[in-house]
Amino acid sequence: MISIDQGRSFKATLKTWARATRFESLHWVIIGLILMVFALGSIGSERFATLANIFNVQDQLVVLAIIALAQTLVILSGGIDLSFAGMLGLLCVFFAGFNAQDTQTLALAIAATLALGAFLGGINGVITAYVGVHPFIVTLGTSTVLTGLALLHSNQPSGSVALFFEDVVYARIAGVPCGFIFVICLYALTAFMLWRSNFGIRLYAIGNNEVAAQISGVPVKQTKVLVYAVSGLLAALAAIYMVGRFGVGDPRAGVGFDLRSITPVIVGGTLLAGGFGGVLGTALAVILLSLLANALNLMNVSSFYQWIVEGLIIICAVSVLVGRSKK
Amino acid sequence: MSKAILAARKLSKSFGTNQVLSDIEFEVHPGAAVALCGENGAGKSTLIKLMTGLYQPSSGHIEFCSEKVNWRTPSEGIDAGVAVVHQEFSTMSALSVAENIFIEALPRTRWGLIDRKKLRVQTVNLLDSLEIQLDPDQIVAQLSVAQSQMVEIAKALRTSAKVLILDEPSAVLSQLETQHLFKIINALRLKGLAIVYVSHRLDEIFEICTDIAVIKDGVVTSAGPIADYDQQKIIAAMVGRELGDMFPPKASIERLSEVVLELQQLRNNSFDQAVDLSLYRGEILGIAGLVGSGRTELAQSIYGARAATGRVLLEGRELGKRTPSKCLSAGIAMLTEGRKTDGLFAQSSVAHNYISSTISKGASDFNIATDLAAQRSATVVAQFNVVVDDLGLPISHLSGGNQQKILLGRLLENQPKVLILDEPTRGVDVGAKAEIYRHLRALANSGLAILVISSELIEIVGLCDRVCVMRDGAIAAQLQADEISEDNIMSVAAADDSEQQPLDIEVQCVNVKSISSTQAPI
Amino acid sequence: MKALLNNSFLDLLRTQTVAGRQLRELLLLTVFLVLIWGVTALLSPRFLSLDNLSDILVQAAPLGFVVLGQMLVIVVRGLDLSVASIMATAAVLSIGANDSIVSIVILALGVGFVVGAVNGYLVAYRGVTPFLATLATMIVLQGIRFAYTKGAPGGSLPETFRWLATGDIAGIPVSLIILAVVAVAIYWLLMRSKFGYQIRLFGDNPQSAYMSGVPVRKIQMIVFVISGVLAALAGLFLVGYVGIVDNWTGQGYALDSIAAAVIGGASLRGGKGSVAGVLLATLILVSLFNIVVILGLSVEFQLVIKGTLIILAAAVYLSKSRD
Repeated sequence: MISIDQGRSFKATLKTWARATRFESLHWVIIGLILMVFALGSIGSERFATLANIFNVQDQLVVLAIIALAQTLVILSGGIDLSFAGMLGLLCVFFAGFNAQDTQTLALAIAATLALGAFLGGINGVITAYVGVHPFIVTLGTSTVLTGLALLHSNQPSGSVALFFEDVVYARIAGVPCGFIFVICLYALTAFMLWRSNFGIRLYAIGNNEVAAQISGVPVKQTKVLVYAVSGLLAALAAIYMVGRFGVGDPRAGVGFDLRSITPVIVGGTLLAGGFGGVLGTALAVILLSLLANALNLMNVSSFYQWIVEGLIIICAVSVLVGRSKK
Repeated sequence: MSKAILAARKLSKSFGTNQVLSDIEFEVHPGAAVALCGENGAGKSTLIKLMTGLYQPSSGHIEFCSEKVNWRTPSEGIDAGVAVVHQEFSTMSALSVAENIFIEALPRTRWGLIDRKKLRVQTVNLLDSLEIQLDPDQIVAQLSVAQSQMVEIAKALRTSAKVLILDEPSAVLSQLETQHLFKIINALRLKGLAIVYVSHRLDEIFEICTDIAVIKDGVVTSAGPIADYDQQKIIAAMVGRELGDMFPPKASIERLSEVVLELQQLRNNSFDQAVDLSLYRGEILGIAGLVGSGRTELAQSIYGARAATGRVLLEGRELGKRTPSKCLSAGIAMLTEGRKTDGLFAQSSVAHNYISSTISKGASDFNIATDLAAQRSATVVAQFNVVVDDLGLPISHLSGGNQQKILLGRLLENQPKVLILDEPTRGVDVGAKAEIYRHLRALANSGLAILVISSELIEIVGLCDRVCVMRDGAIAAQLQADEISEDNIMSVAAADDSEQQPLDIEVQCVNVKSISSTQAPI
Repeated sequence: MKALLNNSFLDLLRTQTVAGRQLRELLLLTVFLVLIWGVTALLSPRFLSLDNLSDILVQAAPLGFVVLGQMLVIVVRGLDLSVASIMATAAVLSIGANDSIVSIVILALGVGFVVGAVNGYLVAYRGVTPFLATLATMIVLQGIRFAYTKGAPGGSLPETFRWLATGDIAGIPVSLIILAVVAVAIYWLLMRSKFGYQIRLFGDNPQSAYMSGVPVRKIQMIVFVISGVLAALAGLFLVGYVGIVDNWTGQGYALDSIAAAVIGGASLRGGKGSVAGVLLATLILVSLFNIVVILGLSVEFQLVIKGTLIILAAAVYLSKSRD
């Protein structure tokens, strides 16, 4: 019998936290690897362990982190979203197309871009949930269409955004870049919502066992539409950040992000089949992968070898996970 | 008499051309417990899904509190007050006990967020009131089958339900757990809940139900207060024909002399129990036991589909590393339990299903004539009396009975010496069942050794020459001749591990074999 | 043709049989192809010129090879994301190392074989999802290729290659002849051999296939190897057609080949796929580009049409299979 009136021990609190953040022993391995990369990087290059460099890493990290977060949610629900290539491109040219110079236009541009992202994501969701087409096919199709539309809109990087917005994106609070803080908040918020919102539990439920979820009264189709819409919304955030970073909207900004977004999710321990995993694993994996890339860069290892390493990491991670899921 | 709280009126349901239920009249009153009986595939589960909003009727309607209702989703039914414990587990293994129980009814804070503390308290209170001992925070994937079933029951009872439907809740429970469940059900019924109870175990029905409705082939064949019934009358209404016609005469024990298959210390990866067993030429050996007692695992470990240690000897020669493909060529063929999951190729044609384990028989591996499959399957269609318009149709268009005949024919193409049949008549109509029994007996008489696993006690008792009863992965008892009866089997199968119950053969019981000899009335 | 149009053909077309449904899908694709060709021809007579048509066919050849392999993989419920990477790697490594056409071909196909075998091993023996296994090999290959070439691929293309990829025998493009031979072989393998039956049954239901004694691991392994070898072959033809060896040769072919397979009637849920269907779909995809150019539309229009077509095709096949 469990007593609930007694004050809960430190250990119990820790257990709840572990469950809330979906922490599992696999994550110790990733943390260990992060420390190892850190140690090796410090030995290999003097610049590596400096604060400047650590924040330099976040430049490469922010967009990938946001997209991987979106991908995590979709994969948790048992789907997959390959539409980021087209989505980011179109949203970038759309946002930059406002040429927002004053606060009012900028607010309008941000709102419109977020709405468009959610809407486009929602379309993915509707076709997947209500027509029943495999999400791989749906998002592959929409990605192609959106890439076409982005390029039709402008074949070259175009548009602009107010300088003060770029300043905000580049700004640092107490030396820490805004983008970095923003991503941390975004991950924390998502983890919180997964733990404390109905949507979060529904997400795990349908990814885990769609039939059981339906029998239990979970609105499976609506939840699916919502998760793809959220994915689109996050893509819009990433697009806005990219425009702020580069000052223009590049229709090819999303190239490669469709497949790249999957690596951190898988390495972080989320099952491709859905239902198991969480954002903490993705966060750790994003850190590991970007630190690794950075360390190899500073050690003058060609980016070519980094690809080999990334591929091998996927194979290792998946092999470990296969052993786990068989239990 | 009080008004019915939940009722089906002229309810029909068809999937495509397949009419599953027709003109069902069914009602349940507050404070009553109705047993819903019928063989597998009779339409019980479909009726339940219709009454809870998971399916929508093709015609007719559902009445709740004397009002016509049209629930489009399960949540509408749940909200109205119809709680269900489903046959297929509807627990989500990645979620915790508490989350499973309260999903879609999670307590919220005033910000609309889930109140985790309150959720925990609610769960503990609910589990306490039901005297179920579980940690609310445990992930369901880590629970045993019986424990997940308890979660399922708690989940159904979390709302202030007016109707509680239980679809074979005791199939995985031990005797002690079943008694616990009955205590809960009785208490709820006396509080005024209406109960619908689906079970295969007739003794249970007499223990806790007040009324009964029997469904056969999608039609209610008999209904009334339980006091008007005895076991024979229920069986007759379920089967719809005289049992003497269902089962062919058995083999005489003296004939069983030649061992075909021998298991020595066979131990699979799911149970820590070794099995020793001999299977004789010409016999049908039944394996009985509760769901989860290790019957299917035993079959799979013989067939090489599950990792196991120990020896398997076929006609005295040991089979080395077994795989399904090696077993097939050695002479062991297996019909699997889940026709849809690991038996059929649903999108493939009838003909391709038929030849799937002997694809290039009668042709070269690299030049199989396009119509060879159809030609080969045409003969089995005639032999087994399969009803099919075109052998090129996807096999999913066929009825369960016809699908099963094709699969049985497929096994015989391998010319096996041993047939392992896991639930050979699940989802098969009564007519086809009798035919399958006849074919099995003929095959045994022609010299095959047949191992039948079944949850239908009538089938085990009526068909098998010898019966092994399994519990916790081990063979708990072997019965033969007159020892084979439903009561004897159940008293072994559902015994609790704590108390070693001796097998009482003297118990007076309904013995299907005796029914068949005395020509039970319809 | 007359024999085909007799009653039994029309009967088959109407039935709910597996063969009947496949035939209806093929007919639908043919009608669609004729339709878009017809409309384009009406708008621009230049489209139907022999030169232009043969140009479309020659362009379609490399994708055709890849699609055939991809289709087989999809039939066994897989996906091969590494095909594009195999194309480039096979071409870059083999041409960089050799001058003689025979050794180039052997080396290139060897690369395809090995990578396919690695994919197959990961999927069949290690239980890795095909998506992740081929994603990983795709990335690793990319690294190997760039590391080998230091970013700038070298080696010269033998003249024979140009001829193989762009030349013709009696007016029929050489690449097309080879594609036809490969297509017939794959057709025979899939529809008339024991192996092909096993592939289709496995795709329909892997569990049932295992219980029916189908050698499930071997099947997955061989299918991935075929896909790898065909992708390597496609890489050589593409390099021959373009005339330049590039590290990014074949970029986009992975997703394009999946798109063509799906439009051609293969289902990601497995068990379904036809040689004729995916070749028709390849032709449709390749002609879209040509059509957009000839009609003077912006090139990007083909992307919009292509994407719509992918989803539409999958949805149409889905609704048909539900009948």
